[in-house]
Amino acid sequence: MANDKSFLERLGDLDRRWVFIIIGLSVFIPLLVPLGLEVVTTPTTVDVFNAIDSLPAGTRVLISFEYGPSTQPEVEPMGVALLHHLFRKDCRVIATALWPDGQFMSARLFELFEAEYDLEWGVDYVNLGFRPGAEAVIKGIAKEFRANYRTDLRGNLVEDLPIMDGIYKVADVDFIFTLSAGYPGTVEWILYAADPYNIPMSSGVTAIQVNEVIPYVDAGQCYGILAGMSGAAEYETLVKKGDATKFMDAQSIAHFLIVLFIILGNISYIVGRRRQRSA
Amino acid sequence: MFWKTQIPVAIVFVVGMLTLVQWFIPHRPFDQLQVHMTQWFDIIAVFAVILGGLNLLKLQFSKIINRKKDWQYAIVTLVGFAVMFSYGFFRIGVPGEIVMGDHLQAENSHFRWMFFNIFTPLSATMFALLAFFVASASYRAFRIRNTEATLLLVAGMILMLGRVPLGALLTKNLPSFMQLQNIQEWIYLWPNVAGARAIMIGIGLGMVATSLRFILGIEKSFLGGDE
Amino acid sequence: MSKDVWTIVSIVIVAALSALSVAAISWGIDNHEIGFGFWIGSLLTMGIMSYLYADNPFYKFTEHLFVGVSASYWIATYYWTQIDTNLLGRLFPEKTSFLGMTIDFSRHGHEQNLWYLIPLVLGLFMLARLIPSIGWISRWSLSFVVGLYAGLRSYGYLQSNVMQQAKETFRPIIIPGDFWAGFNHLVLVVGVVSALLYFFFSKEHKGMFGTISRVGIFFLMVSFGAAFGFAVMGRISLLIGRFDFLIRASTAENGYPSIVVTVLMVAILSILAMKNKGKGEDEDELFEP
Repeated sequence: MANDKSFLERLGDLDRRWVFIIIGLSVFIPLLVPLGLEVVTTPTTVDVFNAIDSLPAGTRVLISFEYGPSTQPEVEPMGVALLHHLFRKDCRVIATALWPDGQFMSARLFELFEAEYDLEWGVDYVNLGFRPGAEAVIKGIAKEFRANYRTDLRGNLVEDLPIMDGIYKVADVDFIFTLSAGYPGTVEWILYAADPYNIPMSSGVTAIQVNEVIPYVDAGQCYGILAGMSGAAEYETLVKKGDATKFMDAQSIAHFLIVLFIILGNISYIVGRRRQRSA
Repeated sequence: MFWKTQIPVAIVFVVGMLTLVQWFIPHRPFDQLQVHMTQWFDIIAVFAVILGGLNLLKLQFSKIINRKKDWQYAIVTLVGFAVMFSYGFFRIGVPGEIVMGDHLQAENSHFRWMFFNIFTPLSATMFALLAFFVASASYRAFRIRNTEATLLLVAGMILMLGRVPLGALLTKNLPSFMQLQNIQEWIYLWPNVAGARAIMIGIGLGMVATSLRFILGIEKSFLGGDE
Repeated sequence: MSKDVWTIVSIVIVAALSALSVAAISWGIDNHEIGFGFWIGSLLTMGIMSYLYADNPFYKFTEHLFVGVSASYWIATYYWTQIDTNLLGRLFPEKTSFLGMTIDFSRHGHEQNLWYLIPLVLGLFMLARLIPSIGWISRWSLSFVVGLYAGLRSYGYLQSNVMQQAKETFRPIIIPGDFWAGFNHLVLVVGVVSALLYFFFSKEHKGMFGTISRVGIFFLMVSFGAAFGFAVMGRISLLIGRFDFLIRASTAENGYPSIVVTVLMVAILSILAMKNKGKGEDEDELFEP
């Protein structure tokens, strides 16, 4: 029976390991031999850039790190570009995390920036680290920041830190930015902080989370959005600093191939269906 | 019955109502209750994680004792658990005067080393594997069986091509409304938002209804079957 | 290989990994992904990647290691960031002696609050799940969690996900001088309303109602399509991240770890595959220990 099938039909039965090899190579080769394709920015990314760019010097921005190693390639480039953008404008950064991995991610990022911008812990930035409890943490700090975050990641009392002067509840920060890869993340910050207390907010999320967040962006509850690695690359283009752009060649080729796979798979399916009907 | 069902239902009602009320009356004593009750929640969440860890140990030990399939690997799990646990809770590999607790992040602490060199590659690769399976599924499973499926696939393909530089390059000589990045942007910002918003409103209404059912004691599924 | 050999091999590898991690730090190698980190990272990365060929001992080893290490990692981070700081910090805010031990949580700067005995007790009740005869008491802790979630979400979702979204759906559809902006607003309102009607199952989807709900399905499908496109993008990004790591790892100064590990692993898997050819019932699991 199998021999009766045409070449196109047999194409649909291709062993999945061949698909794996082709996808693997389509990502691997452009990383070794970059094509240098030009990144085109989209309006939602430009909105994020404008929101950050309009912050005056000295603005205190709360960045929440809700991602881990599994989503680092997508979200970390956004964090890098964002911190460049903020520190260049002399904004101050308060970091929190609702994911345990988030505090490791943020700690390492800040180490990279400390020397370049001559940052002082507790003055220019502070890393408050992770607290378990998801939205309950946000709801708690919405009322009393220092009940849950009594100390920072290095064990200093929060009340001794100049950057935390006058910050008693989450509404006392000037801007919230979430680097989010799922639950808890951007959605919870909108629901329990930005929306009820009218705090301006923006976000960078993994591609998979975009559809969950895009209605908030459209409704103005979140200023723009950095959507996955392509969003990161676009933001980098605007900030003129970062690493994700070099990955967009691999992303392009892989997307192109997957579209090709879908088309080939469907041609094979249609040919097979026609043959069955005529039989 | 009283201890196993009525008390839990009463706890849900009281805690749920107190939490709900403070949205509308954000003043003392409700706001203070909110501050502390959310932290009680956070603390209980930690015990839930500890429970998960202990359950894992229980399962792995029983796997080894009963010589179940792949029991040898349960030893790997246990040793991995023990090594990370000792770096997390004992003063092993904690440099200098660093206080326990701050050691998680301290430079040159073994715990941090394990995070970046063992946990990171394992976790990152586990999720990266999905790229291969999503590609394989695209090839073997997505078929244009009807109008709905066709719409789904076409929207997906336009978005995939339109959001990467190659898509923009392929159509850059066409009129603006035919360029892939513009088509995808329109789909993304209008029909897509419409669908996503309908889902969001639907889930939102469902969430509100379910939450109220829990608070009012109509929904008791969280108690499990054995009442 | 016999089962006992596998047991020994597993233990030796984990012991070696932990010894390596101790050694790496003792020798002053920093925490970033260099040196030993690259070797171990390459080994673990390729161990998991090997699953693409078939389920095999390398994958099983790395998968089980992941589970064990993650569980402890979670327990430790959760404990130190909440129990130590905010629970014990409030129960014992001053240096005290207890059963000959010195307890000191004063560094967290809290005042004593014995109300925090409640979450401690509820937390311990949660652990009672491990003992079947008293497991029912964990329902009390669960009730607290469910109650708080319900109270938070009922308002949060209503306000931000229902009211606000509904409000932002209805915008002017005739905008003088900007036909397309009005048209886009029309698309939005038609899409949201028709898709919501599709979710309305109390009435049979027939006639006019059926037509509108069918339009709703189309909008939902476009949305699912976009979600699919984004899902692909996300997964490919993660793969890019891993390959980037392997490329960064394959430098001469580190001794080409990713290349060496890949070659060795492919060789071992090939030998095992040839040895087991025709033996396995399931093609995807060739290498039974």
